[in-house]
Amino acid sequence: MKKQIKKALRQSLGILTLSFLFALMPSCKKYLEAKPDGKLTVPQTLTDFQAILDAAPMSNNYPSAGDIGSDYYYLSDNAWQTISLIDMRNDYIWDANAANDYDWLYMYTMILNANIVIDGAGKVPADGSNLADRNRVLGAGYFFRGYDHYALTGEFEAPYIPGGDNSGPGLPLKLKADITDPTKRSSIRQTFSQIIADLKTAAALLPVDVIVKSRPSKAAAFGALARVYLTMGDFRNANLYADSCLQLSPALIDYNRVSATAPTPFKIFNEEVVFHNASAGRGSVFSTSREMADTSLLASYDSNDLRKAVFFKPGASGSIFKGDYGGSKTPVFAGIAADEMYLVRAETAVRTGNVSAGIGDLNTLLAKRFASNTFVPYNTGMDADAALRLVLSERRKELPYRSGLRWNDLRRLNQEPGFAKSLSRNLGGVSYTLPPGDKRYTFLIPVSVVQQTGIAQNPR
Amino acid sequence: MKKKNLLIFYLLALMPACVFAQGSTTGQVSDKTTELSLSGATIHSIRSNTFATTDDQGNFRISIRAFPDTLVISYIGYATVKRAITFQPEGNIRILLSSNISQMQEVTVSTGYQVLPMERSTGSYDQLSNKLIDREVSPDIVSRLDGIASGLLFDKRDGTTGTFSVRGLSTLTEGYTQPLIVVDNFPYEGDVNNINPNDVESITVLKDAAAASIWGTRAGNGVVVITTKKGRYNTAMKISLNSNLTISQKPNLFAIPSISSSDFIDVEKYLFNQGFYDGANADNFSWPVFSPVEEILYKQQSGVLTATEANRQIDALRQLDVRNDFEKYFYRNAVTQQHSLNLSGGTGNFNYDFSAGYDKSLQSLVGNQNDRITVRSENNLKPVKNLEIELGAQFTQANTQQNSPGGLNAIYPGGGKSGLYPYARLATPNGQPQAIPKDYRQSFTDTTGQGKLLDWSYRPLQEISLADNTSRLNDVVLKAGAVYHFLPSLSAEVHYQYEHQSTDGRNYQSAQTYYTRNLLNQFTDLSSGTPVYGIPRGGILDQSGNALNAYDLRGQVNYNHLYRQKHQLNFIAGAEVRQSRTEGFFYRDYGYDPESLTSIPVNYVTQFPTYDGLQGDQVVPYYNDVSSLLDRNVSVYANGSYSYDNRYTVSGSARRDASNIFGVETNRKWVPLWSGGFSWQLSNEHFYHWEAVPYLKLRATYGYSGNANNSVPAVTTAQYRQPQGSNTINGLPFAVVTNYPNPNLRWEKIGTLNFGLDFSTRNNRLSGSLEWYYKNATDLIGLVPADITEGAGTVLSQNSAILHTKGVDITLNTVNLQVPVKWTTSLLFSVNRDKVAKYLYSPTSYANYIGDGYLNTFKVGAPANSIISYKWAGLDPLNGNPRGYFNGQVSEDYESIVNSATAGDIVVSGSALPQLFGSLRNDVQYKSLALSFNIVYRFDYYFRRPVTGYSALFNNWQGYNDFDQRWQKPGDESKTNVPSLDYPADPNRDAVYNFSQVNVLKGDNIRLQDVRLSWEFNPGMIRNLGLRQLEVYAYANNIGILWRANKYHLDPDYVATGIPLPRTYSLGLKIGL
Repeated sequence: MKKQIKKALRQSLGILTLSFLFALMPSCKKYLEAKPDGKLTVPQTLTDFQAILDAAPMSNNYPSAGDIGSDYYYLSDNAWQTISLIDMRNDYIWDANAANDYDWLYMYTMILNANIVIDGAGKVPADGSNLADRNRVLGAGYFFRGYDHYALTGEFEAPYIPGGDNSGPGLPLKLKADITDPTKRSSIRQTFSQIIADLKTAAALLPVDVIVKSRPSKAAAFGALARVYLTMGDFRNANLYADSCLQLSPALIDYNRVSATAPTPFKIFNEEVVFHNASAGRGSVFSTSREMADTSLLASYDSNDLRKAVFFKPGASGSIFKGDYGGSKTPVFAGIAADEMYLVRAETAVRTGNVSAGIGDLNTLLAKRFASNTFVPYNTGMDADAALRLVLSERRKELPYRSGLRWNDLRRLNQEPGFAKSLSRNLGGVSYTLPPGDKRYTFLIPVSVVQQTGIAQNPR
Repeated sequence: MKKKNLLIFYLLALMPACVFAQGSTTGQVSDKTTELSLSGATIHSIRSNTFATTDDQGNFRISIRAFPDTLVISYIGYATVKRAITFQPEGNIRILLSSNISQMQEVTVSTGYQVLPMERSTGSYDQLSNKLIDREVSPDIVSRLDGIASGLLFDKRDGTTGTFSVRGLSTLTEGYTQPLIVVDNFPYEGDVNNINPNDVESITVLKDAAAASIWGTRAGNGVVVITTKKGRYNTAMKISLNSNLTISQKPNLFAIPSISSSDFIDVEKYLFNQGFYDGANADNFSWPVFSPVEEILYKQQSGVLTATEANRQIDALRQLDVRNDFEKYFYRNAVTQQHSLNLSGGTGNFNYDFSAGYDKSLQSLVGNQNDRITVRSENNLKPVKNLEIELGAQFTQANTQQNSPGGLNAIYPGGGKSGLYPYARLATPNGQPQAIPKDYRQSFTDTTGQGKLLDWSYRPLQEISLADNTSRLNDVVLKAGAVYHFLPSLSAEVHYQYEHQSTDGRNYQSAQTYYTRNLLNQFTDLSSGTPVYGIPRGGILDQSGNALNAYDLRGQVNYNHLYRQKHQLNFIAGAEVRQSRTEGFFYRDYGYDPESLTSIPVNYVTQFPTYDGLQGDQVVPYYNDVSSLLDRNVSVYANGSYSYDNRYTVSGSARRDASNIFGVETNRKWVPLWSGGFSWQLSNEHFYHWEAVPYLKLRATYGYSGNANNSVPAVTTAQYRQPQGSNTINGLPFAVVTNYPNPNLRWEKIGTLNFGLDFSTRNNRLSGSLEWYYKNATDLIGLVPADITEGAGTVLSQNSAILHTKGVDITLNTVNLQVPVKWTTSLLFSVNRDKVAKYLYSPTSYANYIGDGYLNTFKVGAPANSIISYKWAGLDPLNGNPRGYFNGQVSEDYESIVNSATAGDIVVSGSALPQLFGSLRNDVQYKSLALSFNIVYRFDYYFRRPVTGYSALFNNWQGYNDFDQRWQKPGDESKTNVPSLDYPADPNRDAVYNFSQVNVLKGDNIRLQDVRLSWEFNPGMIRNLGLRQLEVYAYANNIGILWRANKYHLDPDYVATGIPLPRTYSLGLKIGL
């Protein structure tokens, strides 16, 4: 009896052990599919893709080399010498070898994120319940891809020539979420047509209203298209899209209601902002201890023009800029605001023969910029040349320190003899100049990229 | 012993007619290993039935009625010995008793899955006994391995003692280089510092594939198996007490080769004259930090101070060295006390081991302390025949108080300055805390706000007493296991372990702390005249929690059979499941009042204007967070060996692992790994007659282990983040893409070939082992430079490298003298040289190779941890500019050198980790007195001396004492390699000098690591006190360098912090009942 019990015990224990070993196997797959990190996800849902687009890097990595080379500010000898990054020192003096790898790196990283969103959200089946979300996310993906490619055109490819064949080397276009996709330069024309296509797709998908202005809206896509067409010298389309943008987002801030003494007079996402975006790497040059506003720019403001006091803070040796539309104390804003759109619509109206509409827009804008009851509206019947000169001068006064705008204006206006400008810097008795149309208006493609991929370097 | 008995028996049989005679016999009883005489031992003659006990010297006299007779000698804690006496012996008979503790019949090693006899193993094991582990005094177990375990190398470059490797690198991924630590049966998931070293019985290091491959994909870096103390069946209860006190010197801050205050001030004056600070001086927007000398110079410039007064004030500052204040007010002699109690024993079917420990440390930083309580119980019982049940529980509680704001490198002004000016004053001569600038210019924070702001000054010394930052760790481990023997040769076992570890942190930063005052001031808006507060008045309470829940379950079948006395078969097979889940949270309360336990809600959404626009518009910092990590593993394994006639052994092992690594196809997750081995105990051969070497064994193994490198999943992953501070602009939860799809990733695999030879000469006068190994680590994941246009960053993780490692481990033990002084020596000697055999991607510029020997860019043909430098061409005799090489030519084109150096422009100095290392330990014993000292040596490696870079000196206030050797006039270039001061500073020029070959020094050094002196009281003397053992010991650690290759008096092992580990002195007492 005892022996039997022992035997049974022995057998059952054996079976138990064996079954334990085998029981592990079939349920394994499910057991091993559990997430290793609750915060980690393989992005698959529209919520995931929206979250990728809501990350701060999507909104504050706009390139900065063009702004460092722009003419709305200057650095003293000391300020220039205390910049620790050699590349930024070199950008300031338009050194032929200035490298701007970070601008390239950051923008293409954001373009890959946009592609992940486009590829992924595109695979989410559309149905009645998710259509609005899907359009918003997918539209934003296209928007960022277009907007960020455009940001790079101002630095790494030669200026677009209106009416030209624009067959010179453009950007490598990244259009899918594949990090093994070969890097090849397209043409300037292809680059711009891809940007236009992406922004138009975005405009069709994006909603009119967004919960926060770091997310692109329909107006943002129209605004971006207006800006791109202006760069291409396609004034008719630029006018059309600026108008579409202003139809949705016409609000202007009355500077009479802005505190000129406030350290940062404007809030982030303020009512004039259509779309918020910011630049990354300008802190070192544009720190409050270094940059000084260009004196001729400062001198150009009328005494009743509130912009001078709102935008600038005078100091012992010069004035520094404080009128950032991103609520930052150093200039970072790289988004789209209604004032820019009024100026685009004004310029393109004047250029397409509608001076009165153009000057009308200018008057609308300036009425909000001058001290109450001091602004005398310009004559809407003025001569077209004078009107264009006026609009462009107001454009310079309204939009200094806005990422990319002045640099792109220099690149396109240099093609018009009447507006071409030769830039110069003085440091320690040495003077540096950048004549119109100089090859240095196009920065070098990162050397590592050229070495690894064999794509053509920009000429010097 | 057995042979001797047989011989006696044989003699007896031959001589039936014995001469019976009466008399008495004298003798001495002593400990077999220590040769200490044992007093109070009982001697019983069986036939005569007489008794005697030994005296203080261990001597006895017993009367014997007739020969032959047999003596039975017994003594508590020792194995009883029988000694047949045929004739009246001439003179004293000498009886040696072995302690029960060392009564193991054969040396066995534990792999965590099974206990193997060393004799029949094929693999490479290094076993550390309890005695060896106990030599050192420390609250943690890992640091005790340093200098006593063969092939283990501690990397101390980060100033800590916890990073080590077994036989060098097996992976190139930072953070995945640590060996696996197994406690008893299972990998230890909790904090390894929870283990009280007093609870450790032995440690086995598994070094080659045959030893470690049973641990599969986690064994790539080697395995350390810690076996805790267990009770023994049929043993009377033993109580042991160990108590010690350790005092350490203050860290020697003056070992850091810092720039002198006077030189630093001269630099500031120079920069002032260049107008370097003018931009910052005019900046009344951001108010950048200014040093006291800079302030004085501007006061002089504006006429507030006369030149004489300014110079007088500056000259006073030249005399100061902030390290004096740190040594006086921030550091103290660390004091650690450690007490432990252990009870163990057992009956025929039950045994127990219970221990309790208490440790408390006052750390060298004033304000920091910790204590730990450990309670542990291990029980085994045999309720029925053939069944053994194991039950264990362990509890650890550790409290940590971290009130120090940090030491020398942790206190700095910020606002762009990552160093502290060397003449900073932290206290007045009578000890009153002094303010230093922090975040903003002091002249601004002292005066702004019309009295409506909180005090804005930062007094680091005051912060120590204001801080209230504690954490508590509770750890519970419960284990249960059962072994059932179906047949004598067949058994099955099940083991289960559950661990719960929770850590609760609480950091209360009252309204008096700088952190809180600064934050509250920043969120005060005075623009309307009346203050508007974005953050309510009061303190800030941060609470965090972390809970680990882990379980391990294993089922295993063992088969162990000896056929016909010659064929020994040993086989195990099993499966296991392991899961560990870690959940954490962080929660902050603003406006916290510890009296009423209330806090005040804040608006985390709206951007507030910060004070004076200092930070633009900001939302209130939001840190709340919840996290959850889950690690699951499933494994099946088998391991077997066959020995023939105790001469030849072959072994094999196979294993498959799977885990829930993210997004890997399940079939890819399963990794098969195998190993095989052969050993030949030559000395058991019939033809073996080398009597001088009675034990000789040869071993050879080959096999694979792996590295589960979870750092790079093969699919696109994104990680959700909380919107906190500057990481968000829109306040929405967001996700960051953390990994881009890389479908070709494979697990890292390490093949190891090992040859070994074990030997011992007669009487163990010389014993040891020699091992040679070769590791071929393939598919290593390395960072390769990426085309940044692809958008996945500057580098990508890929299976891109092959690493070859060759090494030798030699262990030699000698017994130099036996009596009256026993002197033994242990020599450890290891060679470990690795070489990157293949690296798929070469960087676009050779400048990318430049590094200090951390795992970054690997150069084929050089060690993975290579220090690689710019080739140095001396200083330019005209201007003191550093000169490197570009395209093979002497060059001062720093930008080109730094961006596009070519092959001939760089130099590989060698490994940053010792490639030849070991220790020499001597143990000397004379009667009760024992002395042990360990000399450790580390050779064949290099380090980079910290030197001044002018850009870092000007901008961040970081400088070193090479500054006073800088080139100043033509001719200096023959005496120095320190470049002239240049303005504006060129970071590339700095880099060419900082990373040049002239600053790489040989690290070779020999140091006296520790000395232990102990006095073990004669058992006879203490028996009256009822004691079994009484030992007092003194121990000193980190004693100092005996010889070093570098002439700068730098300790090459602690270059990163510059502060060598302080010397410690301990005094302790061991009591056995």
